[in-house]
Amino acid sequence: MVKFSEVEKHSDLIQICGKCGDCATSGTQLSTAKRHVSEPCPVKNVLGFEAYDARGRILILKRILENNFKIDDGFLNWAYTCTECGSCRETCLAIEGGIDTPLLMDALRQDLVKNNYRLKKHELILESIRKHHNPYNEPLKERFAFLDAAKNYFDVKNADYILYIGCTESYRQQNIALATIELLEHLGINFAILEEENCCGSILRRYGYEEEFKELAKSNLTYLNKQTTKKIIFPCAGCLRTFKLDYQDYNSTDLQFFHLTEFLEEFFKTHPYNFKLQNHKKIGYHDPCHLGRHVGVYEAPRTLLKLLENSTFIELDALRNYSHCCGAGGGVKSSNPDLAVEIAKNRNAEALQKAIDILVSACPFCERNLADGIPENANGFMVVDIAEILNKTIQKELSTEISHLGVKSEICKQYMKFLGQYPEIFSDLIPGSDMDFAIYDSFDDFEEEKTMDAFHVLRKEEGVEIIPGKADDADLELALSKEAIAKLIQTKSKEDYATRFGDFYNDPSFEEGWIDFLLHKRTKTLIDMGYGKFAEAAGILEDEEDAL
Amino acid sequence: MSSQELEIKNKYTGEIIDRIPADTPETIQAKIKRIHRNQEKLREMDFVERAQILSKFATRLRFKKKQLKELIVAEGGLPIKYSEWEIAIVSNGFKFCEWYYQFMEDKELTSIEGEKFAKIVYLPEGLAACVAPRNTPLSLPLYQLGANYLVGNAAIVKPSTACPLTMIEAYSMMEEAETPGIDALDIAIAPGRWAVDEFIKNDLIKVFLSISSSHTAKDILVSYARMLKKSVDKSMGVPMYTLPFKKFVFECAGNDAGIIMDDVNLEQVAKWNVDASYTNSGQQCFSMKRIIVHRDVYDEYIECVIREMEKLKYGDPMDPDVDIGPLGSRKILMMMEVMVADAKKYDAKIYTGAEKIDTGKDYGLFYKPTLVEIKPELCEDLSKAPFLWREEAFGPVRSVTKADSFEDAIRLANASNYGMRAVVYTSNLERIEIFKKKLEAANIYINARPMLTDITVALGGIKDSAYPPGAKYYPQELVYQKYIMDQTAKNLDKIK
Repeated sequence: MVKFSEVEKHSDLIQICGKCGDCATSGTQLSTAKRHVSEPCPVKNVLGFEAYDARGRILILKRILENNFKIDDGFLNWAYTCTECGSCRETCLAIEGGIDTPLLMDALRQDLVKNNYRLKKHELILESIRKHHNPYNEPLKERFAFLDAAKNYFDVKNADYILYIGCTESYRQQNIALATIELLEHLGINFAILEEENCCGSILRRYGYEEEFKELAKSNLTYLNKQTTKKIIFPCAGCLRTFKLDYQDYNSTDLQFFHLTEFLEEFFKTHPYNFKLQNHKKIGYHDPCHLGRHVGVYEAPRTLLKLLENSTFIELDALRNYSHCCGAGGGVKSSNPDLAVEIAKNRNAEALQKAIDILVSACPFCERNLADGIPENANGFMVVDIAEILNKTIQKELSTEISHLGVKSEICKQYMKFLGQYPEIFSDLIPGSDMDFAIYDSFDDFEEEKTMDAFHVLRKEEGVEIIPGKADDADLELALSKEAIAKLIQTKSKEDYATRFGDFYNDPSFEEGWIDFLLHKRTKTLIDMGYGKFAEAAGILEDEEDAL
Repeated sequence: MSSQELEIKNKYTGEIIDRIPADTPETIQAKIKRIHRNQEKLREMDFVERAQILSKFATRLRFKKKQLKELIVAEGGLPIKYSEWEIAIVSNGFKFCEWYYQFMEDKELTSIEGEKFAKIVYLPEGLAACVAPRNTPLSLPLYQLGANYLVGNAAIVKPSTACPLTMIEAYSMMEEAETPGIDALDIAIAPGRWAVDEFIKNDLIKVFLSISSSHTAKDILVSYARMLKKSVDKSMGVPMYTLPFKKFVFECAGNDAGIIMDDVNLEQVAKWNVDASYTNSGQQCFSMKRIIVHRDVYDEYIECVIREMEKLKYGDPMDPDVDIGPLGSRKILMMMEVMVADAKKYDAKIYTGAEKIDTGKDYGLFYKPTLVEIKPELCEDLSKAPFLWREEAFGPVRSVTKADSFEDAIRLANASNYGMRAVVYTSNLERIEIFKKKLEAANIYINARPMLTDITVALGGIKDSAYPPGAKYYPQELVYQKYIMDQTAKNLDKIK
């Protein structure tokens, strides 16, 4: 006989459900429709059956408390389809705060484990955490392999903050970890990484391994409490939730846990900073359940995203505590990967409906799962982590590399050297842009394509390279008469240069000098690469107001 | 009709700039035949090649800018300050014309079953006849010519005979540059309406693209209808029209509303308003004509506008400081006087202006920038509204009307037979969305600078402002959609 002792503890909760269905249904019938939320259960929205929403789950739990309930594979599979996102709690009006169905599912999973209904794949994860301190069965010594000179980050003693990277960012979404580290370094934050960072154990709790989870929680807290630094920053919403909520019962320390976004929001209050997107984008924000609904951080990521210049912030319809789950939570990503991706597709569709270009999340699990669920025809729609989008917009100082080998004329050499002073002229171009600068003896030569000398400027990730000769596949050619160059290199500032440059284009003269350009790619493509902005900054496109 | 000579006068000094031979019906018909014969030369090139040629021609326009500007000022009376804009709009348009390709790329279609056998392609409509107005000696006629060239239509363009020299100059620049396919393009110098009749009666002409007043456009349709009627063949007992369909594209008058709400920087908006309303002496279809101001800021705003208007300098259009040049014709001067006199009958307050300089000749005519109050209650019944409210003031007279609320501003803006553009200045983000939805115009400008030359700026209008209705880019109007269903890959085995 199977005993559901953990579930039984909550039998009052199970009895109180009035079966109204607000946890799953939609439309005007929903009493919470006036809160602008419908179809709150992401799992039911994909699988369709009542059994998957909270009302159905509670009915099933009621049944198992009766005698003679037989557990089969179908039941086990069902038990692990809940993402435990807690959306149903928000719409439930049965009791204050709503019936905590995720808590009931956790209890059920604990009972299953206690009764030895242990799934092979879950056991493997448990073993991996014990052996390698991560659920991905990856070697412990490679935890920080993604970092060059990881050792330099281990000086916790002298750091103000500990950055807790987490397993997912260490082994799977290293892009977020790198973006976070680079961002914090750029902002001058004194932080360190724990050399013996361990799995937070979130997945153990989600799978019902309560004893193992407790053990891990205690050892993690003890290790952390030994450190001189008590302030821990988490870029992973899952780890944060685990430390902040799931460890609560075992935590008697004065450790302080922050999500990266909370930390940055505070930081920018006293250190104003401008972030600017290269090309204008419509940005949406996906509230990770672990950060929003569970821990209550809604405002900080929004405040940060609104700092992004050259972007429009657009809210999704299901937002904040009513946000739809990405589908990865509650162990669903590893137990039911296909289900997780279907849920992600629904969430992405909400963003696409709002014509959002970039959907930002603040949890590596959400980023990974939402990215897996991007439809094929999504026209460049992207999912990124908040650390990545902030990092990408950091105004990096551009440097120039110049090689003079193979340049024929003195004027060409001088012009290359001159441009080398102002790499920021090219800052609006996306990395990989490559443009020719061609010098002509006369306009007739230009028409006959007889170049006197040429070099090309390649925009690299962190600067530009000025290289002799034309590029193999240049985006466009900037053509200049030698007279124009002779005058341009006399200018004393970047602004003077732009003014003269614009004059030579807008009022060209065969004798005094001229500038023209030939487009080698589609106009639309070039605009997207940032050439429109480049042209505007270079004085080629006139300011309309000044033209009047 | 025998060949005659046209005298083109400087609109400010009256001095004769040039005498040019005019076309006759016979020479126009011969030109149409010739360009039709050469149409294939254009189509031997693809869109991208033609775009590159136009892009290179833009360079030539820049090199000749000074000379073209002087010609625009002399024959058009446009201030030299504004002639820069006149050239920029067309030279930017040509330089980046490949941008329009996005509207005419092949579209692959996916059927409900997921099959991809069908597609939409865009093909040049055929020989186009274009008529350009008097207010833009270069930009509009050259744009008409360029748009046709770009899509692969032969084209004949008739610039206004009041100011044809700049366009003649541009055309000869294209000849000098040995522009490939130039034989499929020509210009017609023809005074009077008969030239239009020559265009519409010719079967070779497939598209008729005209920029004129709405009334002239309707007149043209009447002529076409008469010709259709005449072409009836009754030999089989039932009337059959032998004259084929043509595509008519009309760009007509604008009577644009500009709404100024109570939550904006009045000085800044007034500055833009005056640019939008009085540039080129208001002789601009998209000029802001009906200014609608929220009651709470009305008086203060009028003061700001008048202050800006007082800064406008009028006189010799060659003077780089001059904002207001001579009017294009005596007819416009008369129309302004009639509109102001009519408004006075309604007890309209004249805030400023209503003065003229009349040389008694057909040049050097000025009407001082004028601002006339039109009371909101007069706009309720359009048939009884003042002439200045009902019809386009193609000169420097503008009306200003008080709105009680933002709903009232929308009502006033929509109380018009025209719908080219509507302009709004407000900082209320929620209302902006309502303005976008409710304003009846094909082009909506919210908190935008006037006189944009951006390539995305669209033409077109709804109501009496354009036909067919909607915002449009010329290249898009000059091609037709062809649907192709090719199931060869699926059915070749069966039909072989």
